[in-house]
Amino acid sequence: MLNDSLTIIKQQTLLMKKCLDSKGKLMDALKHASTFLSELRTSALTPKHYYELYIVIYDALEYLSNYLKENHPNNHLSDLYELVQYAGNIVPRLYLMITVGTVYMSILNAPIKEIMKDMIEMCRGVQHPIRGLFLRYYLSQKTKDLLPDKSKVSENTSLEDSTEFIITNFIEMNKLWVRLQHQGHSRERQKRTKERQELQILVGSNLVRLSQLDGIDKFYYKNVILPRILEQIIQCRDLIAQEYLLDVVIQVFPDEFHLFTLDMLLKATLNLIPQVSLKKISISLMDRLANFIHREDGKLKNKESQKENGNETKTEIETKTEIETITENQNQNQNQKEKEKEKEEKIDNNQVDATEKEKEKENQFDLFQKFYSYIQKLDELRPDLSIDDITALLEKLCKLSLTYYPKNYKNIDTLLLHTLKRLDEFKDTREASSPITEQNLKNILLIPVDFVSIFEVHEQKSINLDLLLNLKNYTKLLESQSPKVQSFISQQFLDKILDYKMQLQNEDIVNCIFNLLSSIVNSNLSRNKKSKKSSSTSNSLLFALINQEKVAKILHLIYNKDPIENSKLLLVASKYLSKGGSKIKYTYSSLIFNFLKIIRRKITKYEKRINDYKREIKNIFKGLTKYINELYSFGSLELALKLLISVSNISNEIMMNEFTNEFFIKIFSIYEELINSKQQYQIITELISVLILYYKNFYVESKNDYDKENYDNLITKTVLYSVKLLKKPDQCRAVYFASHLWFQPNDFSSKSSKEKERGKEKESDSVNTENGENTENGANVGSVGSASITNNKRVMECLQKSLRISDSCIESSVSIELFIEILNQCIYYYIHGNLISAKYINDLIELIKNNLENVDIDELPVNHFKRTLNYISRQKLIDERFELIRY
Amino acid sequence: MLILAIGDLHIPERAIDLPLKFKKLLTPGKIQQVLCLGNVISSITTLEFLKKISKDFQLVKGEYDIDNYNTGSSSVANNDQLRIGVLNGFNIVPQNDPLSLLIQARQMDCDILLWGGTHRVEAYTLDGKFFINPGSATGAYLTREIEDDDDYDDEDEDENDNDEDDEIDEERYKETQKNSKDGKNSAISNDKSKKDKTTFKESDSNSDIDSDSSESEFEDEDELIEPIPSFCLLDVQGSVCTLYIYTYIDDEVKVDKVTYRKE
Amino acid sequence: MSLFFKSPIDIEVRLDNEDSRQHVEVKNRKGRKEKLPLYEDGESVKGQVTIRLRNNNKLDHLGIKIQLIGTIETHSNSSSNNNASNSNNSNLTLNNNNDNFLYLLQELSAPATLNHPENYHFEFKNVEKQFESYRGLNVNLRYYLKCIVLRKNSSNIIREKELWVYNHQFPPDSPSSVKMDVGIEDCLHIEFEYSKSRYSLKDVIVGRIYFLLVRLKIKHMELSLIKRESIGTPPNQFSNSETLVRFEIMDGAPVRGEAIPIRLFLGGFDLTPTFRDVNKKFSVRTFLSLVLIDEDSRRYFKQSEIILYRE
Repeated sequence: MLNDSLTIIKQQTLLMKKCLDSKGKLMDALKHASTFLSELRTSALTPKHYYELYIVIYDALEYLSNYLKENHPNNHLSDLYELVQYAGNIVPRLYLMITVGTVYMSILNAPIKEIMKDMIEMCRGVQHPIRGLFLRYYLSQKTKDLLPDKSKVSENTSLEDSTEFIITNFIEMNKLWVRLQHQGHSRERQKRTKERQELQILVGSNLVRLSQLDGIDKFYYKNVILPRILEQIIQCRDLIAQEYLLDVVIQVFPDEFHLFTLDMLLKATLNLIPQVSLKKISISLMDRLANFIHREDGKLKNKESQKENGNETKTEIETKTEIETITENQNQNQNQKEKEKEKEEKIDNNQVDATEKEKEKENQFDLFQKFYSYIQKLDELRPDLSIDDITALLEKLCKLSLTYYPKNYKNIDTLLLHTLKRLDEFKDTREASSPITEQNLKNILLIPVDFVSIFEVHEQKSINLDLLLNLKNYTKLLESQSPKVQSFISQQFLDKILDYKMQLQNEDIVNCIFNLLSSIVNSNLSRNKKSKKSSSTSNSLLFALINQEKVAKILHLIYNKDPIENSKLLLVASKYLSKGGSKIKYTYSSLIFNFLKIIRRKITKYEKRINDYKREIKNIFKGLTKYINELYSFGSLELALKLLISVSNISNEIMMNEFTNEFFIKIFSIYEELINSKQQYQIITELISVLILYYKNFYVESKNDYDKENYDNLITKTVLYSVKLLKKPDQCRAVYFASHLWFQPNDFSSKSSKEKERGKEKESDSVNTENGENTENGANVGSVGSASITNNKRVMECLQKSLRISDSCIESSVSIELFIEILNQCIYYYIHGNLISAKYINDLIELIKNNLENVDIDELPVNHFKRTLNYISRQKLIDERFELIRY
Repeated sequence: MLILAIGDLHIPERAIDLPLKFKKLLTPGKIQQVLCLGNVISSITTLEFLKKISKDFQLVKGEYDIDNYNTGSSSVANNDQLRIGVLNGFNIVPQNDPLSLLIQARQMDCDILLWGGTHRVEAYTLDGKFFINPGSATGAYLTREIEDDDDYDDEDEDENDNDEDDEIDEERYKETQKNSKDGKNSAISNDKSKKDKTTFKESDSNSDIDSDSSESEFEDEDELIEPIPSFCLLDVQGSVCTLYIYTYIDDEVKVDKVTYRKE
Repeated sequence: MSLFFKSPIDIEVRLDNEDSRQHVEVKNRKGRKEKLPLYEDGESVKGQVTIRLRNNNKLDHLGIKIQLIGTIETHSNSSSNNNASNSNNSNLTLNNNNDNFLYLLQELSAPATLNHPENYHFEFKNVEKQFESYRGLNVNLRYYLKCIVLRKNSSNIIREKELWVYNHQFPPDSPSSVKMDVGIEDCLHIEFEYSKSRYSLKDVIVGRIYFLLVRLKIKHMELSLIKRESIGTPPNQFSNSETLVRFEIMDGAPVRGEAIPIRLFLGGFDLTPTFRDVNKKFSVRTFLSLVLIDEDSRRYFKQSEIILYRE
């Protein structure tokens, strides 16, 4: 069908061109044209195929047009205009009329106005929707550059003629378009709807044309153009038409016009048929206006480039029927308008320009109020509106308000309240939990997150805290949501705060943020997990863990320059964390370390007045003890122990020995509950390590005999625990490690004082220590005392003890390995002085050798032994004392 | 072969994350082996991140790693002609003591020993072995006293040198300053050259600052000094290991290079 | 009859300035076009007759005269009274009735003998030509000059020359618009309006059709011009109609409230002015017919007469 037609058209076009090219055959040419135009009389084609015909014919007629234009002095166009009207069939007749008529219009001194009127009037004869639409589209295309406007006004014509012309064509086309819906069988409704959508662009193009007319100002738009367009849109009572056309209106005309006619536009939407999605329309309007500001901003920057682009796009437009055309036109139009304005204003200072505009905007009216009262009106007049739509509208309005009035938080709060109210009305309906509503609410709740980027481009990014803190209804709204949504929102906040590394510097913010995070922080989540056991995969568990990790990270962001303030903030956070139940084991470590950081900050900053802060620090320590107890009560023994060790490290650092002691007593009591021998061994090793460090403060610095006594108790107890370890090798190692507790190298005094002389004194002390066997009790006050801890006897005892333990090992290779380790310890002490005699070492070597001979043993200890002996021989090169060691 | 030595991240309890610039450096595909020195297990995401860097990922248990996977507390990686021992450092008593570390290295029979726990990057040779502490990749807070810092040590350094050189085996101090004496390769690279020295002092003495004296030192400081984020890359070729030390100071990544050759 | 005998002379009737005179192209009965000189009412008919002898014979005649005749020739159908339009049917027997409404005579020559070619001038002064020439299906209205050479023993030699006459009229003073309401109950209700009822032949019919009720599925709408030629007077009237023009004015189905414009240029068509009871013999009238065709190809029409005149 289509191909037949196309063939005929091509043939006839060829013939027409031939006739046009040979002289005096214009009539024949017209006849051929009429013949191919008759193909457009078909009813058998779908809109798409019909469009294909149209395109081919358009080109053919374009050829005719050009011919007529070039030869117009030879052919009286007015006569020709009449002549073509003898065509018996209306469709070819009108196409020819328009072809001739538009050529006629382009001629100097043509009766443009009359031709326009005549053509638009005669087009009424085609009442068939598809044929009529294309015919009128042809009219619109052909007249496009000929319509009088500001830039091309002649004596008898005016802009009004053009607007009248276009509006009439628009109205008629819309009628035809709407009518299409009601033709044919009702079972083909679907198909027709689709066809209509394919044709919508033809109707919309009129509005594009209208917007392209030069010289329309907002007053004219408001008084003349918009009322008529809206009237038609309302009158047609057609779903597709109302939705589509209003959208085109919104997209095609400049924002200033919309701002100026907002009331009218909004009011019109209330008169649409109920099926129309007011949401779509008002959202597209709000989006448009919201983008307006951004465009205005961007415009100033892109002035130059836009000018270039604007010209380019202009030529491309038109023959396409794609939807892009409209948007393209719209943009172009936008550009043009903007350019003009720029020209007119010629304000050099961009900033002044921008701020002035902003003022202007504010002075004009309260955009927010307009939309808000509109939404209220909707609630009243359109109770059928779904919660999906309502929430979508509210979301958009929030964003619009923030765009225009970034500092007006009250607006947003009003909307949140409104949202709450409406949600309440829909409570318990299925709608209220629809995915769309849920998404809309998510978007609303994420506004403080989303609206960051706009305001803080160059600065440090952060969540819009001002906004967040000023929204009284925010939390309520959040809490009204499903746990899933809540945790999603929390999640987003969490991520953003971390992304931005946003410091939480005051109590309000901390409260606010932790309220937001409550769905993650609180323990109910874990309960959910349990209830969902069947579906909960390791993935969701992993997810939950990652969330806890993030919460822990956030604690590092709680910061205030003033340590006391900072600790208050942490305290606030801790209250939220404590609601997490067993989850505290993921978060408390971070909390505790942050407290510890503060304590160190206090020392470093205020050390001279450390006493002023002691009370505060004591409070912190008490708090930390409490937190650790909580962890302990949730069964996190190992964690509690490690944290206690960390805390006691700090209390030791600031010389709060009684606290250190307390912490250790606590450590011991928890330690006793440990059952895993590996853990026990590790803890003991660590205790020995830190106690070695504490020696200085308990013994050297302290003037308090209690401290020394306590310290002795602590190390004694530790050794006791060492011996009690389950496994022999562990016992053995722990004990030889413990030997270090009584071997404190000698340079404390040198560090405690800055005087070098003293250091030298100490030097001699250390020598003494090595030589003689002083008891710790013999320590003198001050630097000399430092040496006294070294208690050779105790060291030896430990080594002996460990030898005995290793000897008692049943597996001989294990026992030999342990001997070798002890040998290495002995070498250590030997290097450090004469605490261990060469003989002792020689004996030990002998012992190992014997054992190795007696027993068949795997390579490992043998090699270890070899390496040790090699080491000794290397030492001989540097230390003559090693000559005494023989093997 | 390129080996990453990284550890003591302490995420999330002490640090939020690795510096972004580190993360950008540590992309998968370049590094053949990752040796992780622990204190990382509490962050699933970080662990995942590290595991992605190379398929050959080895982890030892850190002091604060509470895990159920029975991660070993030390491991040895054989690479070419070099044996690299890895441990977190808590199992060395006294902690961070070079001689103790040497004992450990001897026991593990390794040429290179990676250890951590001090959150301070350093590297030196002792008894022909190469000791590397890659520091904390996040610059995590340390409860052991890290802050007895440069200034303090500077003075001490000299003292110590004087004090102990004569009396105690020189080998204990294979620091830069002593290179000449020992004739051995030693390299210590730290964020600040001063700090290198410090490290050693601490280990010898197990000592702490006299609080009085340190007070005045820090008075002017606005904030406490946090450890500096760092990690190491080891380029192992035959018996030679080229060590690249990455530190993150003032939002910049600095790289120092030290070469160790097994004798 | 003259075909049987070779005429001894040639008679030529020439009108003054005939070459420069306006001619009208008319189709004759056989469909051939011929060009006839155009005259108007009251215009003198003037010219000369030239008689040439053949074979150099001389001719005796009893006188030469020329007549100007206006006549109405009807071919009426005696066997059937119906006024159906299929009058073209060749089976019909036609009765020729001539009715001369104009008869003027001028003697050109007394009886004489012609030895050589002779010219005779004639002039009918200010002849009233009451009617327009017309060639219809069954009726012709003709004006012709008839030159007769009377002879003694043989039949007269006759030469005719047809003229064409236009009768110009002045436009009516106040053109009144025509409005009409038509409808089929509950199906269709339209109203149409023409700007006037009288049109000159070069005129344009302008009008508009309002659709007040549309329940028909209209496919398209056209306008026809129908010429009706009637002979005689009722009850013995005999008519036939001929559609001269078909002109589509609407494509597709309008809805209630639509107004469709009508514009039909008449100038391009071969139309006859309205003749009413020409000499009580015949009438030619033109009707404007509005035809609606629905999707089932049913036609609905409404005719109304328009008066055409020659301006």
